[in-house]
Amino acid sequence: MSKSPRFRNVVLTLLVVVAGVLAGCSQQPSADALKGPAEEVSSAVRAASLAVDLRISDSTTAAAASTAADDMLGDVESATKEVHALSAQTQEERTLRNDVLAAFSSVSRALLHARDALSSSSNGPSDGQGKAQLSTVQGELRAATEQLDSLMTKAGIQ
Amino acid sequence: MKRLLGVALGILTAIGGFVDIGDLVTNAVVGSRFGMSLAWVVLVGVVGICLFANMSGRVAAVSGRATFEVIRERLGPRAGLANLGASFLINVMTVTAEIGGIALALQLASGVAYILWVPFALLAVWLVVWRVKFSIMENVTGLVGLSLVVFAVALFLLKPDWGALAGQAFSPSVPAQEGAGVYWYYAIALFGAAMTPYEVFFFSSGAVEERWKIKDLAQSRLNVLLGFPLGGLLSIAIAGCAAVVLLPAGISVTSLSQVALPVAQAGGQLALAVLILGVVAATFGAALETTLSSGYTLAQFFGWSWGKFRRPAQAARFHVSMIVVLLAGVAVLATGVDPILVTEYSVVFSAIALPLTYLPILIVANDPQYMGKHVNNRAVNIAGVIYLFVILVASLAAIPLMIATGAGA
Amino acid sequence: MNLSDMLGSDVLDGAGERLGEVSDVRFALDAGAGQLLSPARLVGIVVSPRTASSFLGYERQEISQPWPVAQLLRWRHRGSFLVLWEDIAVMGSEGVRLRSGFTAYDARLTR
Repeated sequence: MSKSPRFRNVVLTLLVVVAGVLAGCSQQPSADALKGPAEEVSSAVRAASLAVDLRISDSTTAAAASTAADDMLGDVESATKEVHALSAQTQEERTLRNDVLAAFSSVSRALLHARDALSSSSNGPSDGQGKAQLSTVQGELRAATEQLDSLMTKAGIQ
Repeated sequence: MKRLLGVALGILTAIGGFVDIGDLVTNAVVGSRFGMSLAWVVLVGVVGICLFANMSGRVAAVSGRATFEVIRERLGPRAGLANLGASFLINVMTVTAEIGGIALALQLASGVAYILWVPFALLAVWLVVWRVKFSIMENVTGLVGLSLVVFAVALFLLKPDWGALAGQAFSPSVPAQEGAGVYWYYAIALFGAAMTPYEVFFFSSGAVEERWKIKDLAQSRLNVLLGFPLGGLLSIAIAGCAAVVLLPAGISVTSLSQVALPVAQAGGQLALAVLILGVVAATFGAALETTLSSGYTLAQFFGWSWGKFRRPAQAARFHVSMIVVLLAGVAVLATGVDPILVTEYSVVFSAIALPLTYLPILIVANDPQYMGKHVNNRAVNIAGVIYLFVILVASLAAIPLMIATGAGA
Repeated sequence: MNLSDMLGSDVLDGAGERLGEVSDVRFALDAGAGQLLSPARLVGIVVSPRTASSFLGYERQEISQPWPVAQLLRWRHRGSFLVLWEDIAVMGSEGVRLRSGFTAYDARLTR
């Protein structure tokens, strides 16, 4: 009630300063700033891989597996946006960012193929063609995982 | 025999009713990132919800007043209104999360985008709130929700290294790849998920709906003291499944479809079907409870007539406010915001608002004018005060931790 | 004037010294319910030197549980007193001014 308005002003100023500091930092694509998005994508591609495995062994349904692939695609999209928002200043940073984005986009492509293969596999993986398609997609997911993993090790993200 | 059946039914619905989208998501996220090292929080939360649900049930049975009537009477109009604002906002958030949960589970079953299931879920929830008898609503969703036991079955089928799991649970430590801040942030989220205030609003209003008398208290105590801990075990099993399958695979949970992966791996399509059924029932039941809770809190604060035991025309404002809440929730979902994200925030905000609900209950449970000779005994008061302290610390730490960790990223 | 607007307004004594804030208003019911509702008579205001927040029921002397909560709330409201309606000189939007030589009664309620 009788708190002085000065106190309120001090608190407000402090909040504004904190917000400014928070908004100002972690704008550069350092290993630290890339860690979050890279881990998100690495988790996403592994989850999709597991979903395809489960579909191949007929443990899960086409609907559930393709939903998982679709959700993972969404995660990769948001991680990609996050990396796009970072502004590179040195040549080194620019290269790192582009490498990461390239790895993300191959994950993204693999996930798209996985989703399509999973949702068209509704008459059961028992049919040979569907199964072959799923294992092709699985190979693609694994390759994308490896690309991302080696990049993360190289850049010291982990 | 009939009495025994009643007790069994009560316990089973309490188990099924314990788990909602908040518990489901938070436990899976925590299991996939921290293993079993936060299982102790579930234990702390379950003891707390048992304590305060019992207290609010006793207040309702003895004084005939539900929790928000008590808050209004004890805090006065101004502090009461602030409390109502916070509680109501969190309720709406939780309604949003639960409806999103129903829709996500239906997407898992059908492959059709969840956003298309949202109107359907809204309509179904509203029809049940409008038409179905209270006891039927509670028993059906609780019993069907019990199929979430599939998580416990799946955990056994996965044949985990029980010793390692128990080791993580009993000597908890922060995993190397996660920071201490994130660990405590999720501890608070898990605590909020287990102790969500709506459970108490609903429990006490339900006691009035079902016209509990003092002699019914023994049975309700049994339901709570057996049902909620078993529900807590179910929560731990959810975390366990994620810890056994997803954590070693380097997968951290961001969606409901990932929560289903370990169950499918353990039990195949049959287990998956049971899981989806359980998730739909649990989130549907919780959507009903949270929708009703928002109606209860508003009506009890403003002194409108409320309750499903009245015909809708006799509690018109109560029913209108629930329709508004449901529409608000759907409007939020229509923006395309991720329901899982809403869920994660709703449990943390629940944790922040916990003192607003639990302090007035503790005070009134000690007031002889309301309670006569049924005031809290010494042991309950000691436990209540200890929990009040824990709740306060969690509530105060939540926002700084949320900012410092970027909401657990 | 709306009574809830009075809650939290400053209370000054006859000399203009600030005594605290209005934290509660006391009524008495003089008779059982008649043909109309039983008339409520404003007895006085409760002045709390530190806070206008509610007593949460701890103005009643016999209630002292749960242990630290009751004691903390009492402590927060320490020094509160009741001023009878007769001792109020002005009650308006600027606050409450008491007559000089007002009597401060114990704000606690006994059974």
